[in-house]
Amino acid sequence: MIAADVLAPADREEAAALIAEPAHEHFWLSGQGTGAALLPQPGMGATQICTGRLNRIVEYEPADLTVTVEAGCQLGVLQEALGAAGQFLPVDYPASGTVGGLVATAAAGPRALGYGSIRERLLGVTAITPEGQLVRSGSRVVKSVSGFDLHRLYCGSFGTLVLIVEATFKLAPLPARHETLGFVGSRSLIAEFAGALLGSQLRPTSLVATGGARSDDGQIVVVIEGGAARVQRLDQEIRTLAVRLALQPDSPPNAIAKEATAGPCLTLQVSAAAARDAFLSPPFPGEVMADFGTGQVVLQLESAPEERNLSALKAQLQPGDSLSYSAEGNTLRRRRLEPGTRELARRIKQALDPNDRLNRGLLETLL
Amino acid sequence: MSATSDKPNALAARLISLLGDEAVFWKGYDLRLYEYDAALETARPETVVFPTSTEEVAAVVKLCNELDVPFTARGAGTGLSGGAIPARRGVLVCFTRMNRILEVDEANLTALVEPGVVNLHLSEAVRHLGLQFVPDPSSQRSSTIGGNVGENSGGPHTLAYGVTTNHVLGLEAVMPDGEVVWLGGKTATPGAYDFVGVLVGSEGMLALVTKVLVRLVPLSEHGATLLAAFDSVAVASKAVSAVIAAGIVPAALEMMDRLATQAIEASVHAGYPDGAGGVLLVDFEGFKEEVEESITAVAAICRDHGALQVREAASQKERALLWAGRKGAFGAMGRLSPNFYTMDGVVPRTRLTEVLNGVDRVSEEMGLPIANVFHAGDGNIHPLVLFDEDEDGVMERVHEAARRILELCTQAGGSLTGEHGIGLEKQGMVPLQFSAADVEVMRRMKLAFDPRELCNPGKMFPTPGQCLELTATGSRLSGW
Repeated sequence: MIAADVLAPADREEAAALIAEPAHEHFWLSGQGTGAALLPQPGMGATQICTGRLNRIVEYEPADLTVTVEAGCQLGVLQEALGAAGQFLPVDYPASGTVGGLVATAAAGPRALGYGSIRERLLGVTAITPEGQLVRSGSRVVKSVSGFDLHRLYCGSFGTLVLIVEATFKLAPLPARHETLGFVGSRSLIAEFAGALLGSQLRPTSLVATGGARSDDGQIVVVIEGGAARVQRLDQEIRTLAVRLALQPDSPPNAIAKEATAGPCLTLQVSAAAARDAFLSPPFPGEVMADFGTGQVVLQLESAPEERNLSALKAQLQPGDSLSYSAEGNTLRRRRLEPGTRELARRIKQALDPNDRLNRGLLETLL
Repeated sequence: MSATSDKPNALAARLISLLGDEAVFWKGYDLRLYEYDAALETARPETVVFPTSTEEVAAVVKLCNELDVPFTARGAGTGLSGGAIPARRGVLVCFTRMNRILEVDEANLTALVEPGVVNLHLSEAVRHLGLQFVPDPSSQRSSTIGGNVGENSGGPHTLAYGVTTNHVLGLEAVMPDGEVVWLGGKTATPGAYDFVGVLVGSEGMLALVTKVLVRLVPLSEHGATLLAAFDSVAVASKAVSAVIAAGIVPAALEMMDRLATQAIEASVHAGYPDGAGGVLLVDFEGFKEEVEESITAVAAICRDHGALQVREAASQKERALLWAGRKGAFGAMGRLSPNFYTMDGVVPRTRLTEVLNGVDRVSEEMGLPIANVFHAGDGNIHPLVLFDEDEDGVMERVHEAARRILELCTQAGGSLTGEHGIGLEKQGMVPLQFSAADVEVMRRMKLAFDPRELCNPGKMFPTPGQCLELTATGSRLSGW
């Protein structure tokens, strides 16, 4: 459902003409709005553009294992078309979310462990510049080093540089077999188990561990996928490892909820080893969930931490890591920029969008 | 500078004061060795420097800013598009002395290396830990990780594992103004602006990379190679498409045509069948039973597509020999012709047959034999145009053949280059793939990083008078 005051161009040419129109001072871009709650409100005077009607699958050739699709296409619709040919785009993103939203936020979830993030899948982008020009970066083939990889810059840029209207992805075959294994035990054993899996060829599709607020115990869920021979072997070896570490099978594995909950929440974005450490001994008391695919650790805290303790934790982060804290639930998992690159980010924004016409003000909230 | 000068000029003298006498080449005799890489173009630098630390690189870059002198990064000089050629002369920053592996982090499967580390040396250094660095360009015995980052190098085994950009997590870089920045990190998720993704493959035009944080991948317990011989590359290409369509992504899927196979057999004796028009090498890695499952499936697909012969390497020794043939293919071309030109283009896998037929037509029309050795699984073709440089006017025909082949690639929805880069080699062809508006955004980004245009200038952007007249939009790059 597209709100009445939101402009929804019917095709890319119409979208380009709309953006080229100087009467619109600046724009706020959206897809289906699945992520709207996570973003700040549109700036004053922004013309809102929704890509929802740009929803065609432009080119899909299963034997090429690639697809080119418009930004407003919903993930559920895309996956259904791909699934009919035994393929899929291996990402964790809501079925109602759009391709454009996926790319603009570089959303990543547990499956990134086995399949890589969307960044690894994105081959090319067609976009509209803040001047209303249709431009392309990358290509529709699985390998290209032609020109600067601007599509990688657009991926995760939250619509601050261009309006993405079309993207090409490298797909994966749907796995013939899929299994979910669960184990419970002490946190230290679970951490050891996770470390052993991550460092070996037993690397699963996803690996997520959880621990209660007032317990030394935890749970870990392992998803394994692939051909029959691979899954059988992984299943056998992973169970053997669990037995050796005296972990108990937890069958059927409890679903691990990732929904936002109320209360103070701390999200760390760190390396796999640091995620393991944070799972083992969380910096503050609370329920912990560690996703080893993205290096994301979410802590639902019992009480708000003191500011100086948060600052001390921040000081321990490694380059590229990030920390975000919210007093009211896990709402915004914001990607931050590496320290020392703020100026570079502003220069790029200034170079590509000199009149600050796209998602005005949003970059500053990411800095 | 004069080649006979026996005193360093002002630029060289300042560089010597920064880095010491041993780390600066300025004599004509020494400079001559650095005027070329593996591409056809050449340009002689004014000075070559060999820094040993980030601080030295930053000092050199700051001096270049002060004196308004361009600078260009160079690894081992194996690049095929002229990326390390100092097109606007100036200072050539050679990274071969920054070749330390600084850290191997087993818990996170990463290594932090200096840019001058040789690709293969890294894999050798971590093999005892059961790990490897996956990107394996044919030049891997000499090419450096820094060069691989600059060009976003590929290689046969990037089919299943991805190219260099998929294996770089973080970078330390000296920006074109001399400032040192750290980008990315060990966390799997990049920051809001993916600077690492932009720098990898930027052909050394945005910054000088001084440290690279790479992903290491556990070695597989088992590997096997299947050889399948066909009547022609056209038939073999159909089998390639069928393999991918069946949901099988082997570790590598390489093809050689009749001419290439003959040359390889004559030189390497790899055991490729006589008279085959197209030979496929398919590599598998993983668990033993998983590999066997895939081999059985691929062998069946090849037979269904009329393969003349399908055989699995019976031993690791035979497997190594089959691969030695593929890796020695370029060297073997010397048996066919005094000179050859290695091309690089990409087409959708389903269009391989059509494009290769087109390459045959170009070969006939231009009167130049063309051998094909390529990454079929990726649709990344490498036509090798054979010629004798002593023949009058042959270079014009070679360039014309190259242009026509790249036209075929882009018309089929492909790319001008899969792993070699644009550099100097394909500047004039850029308009075959990108519009003036596409290029303009790239130019703006170049200027955001390098407003003074000192960092590897004269590359990638189309040159006036070639295929495209760039519209002047007040860009400072109008002279390009």
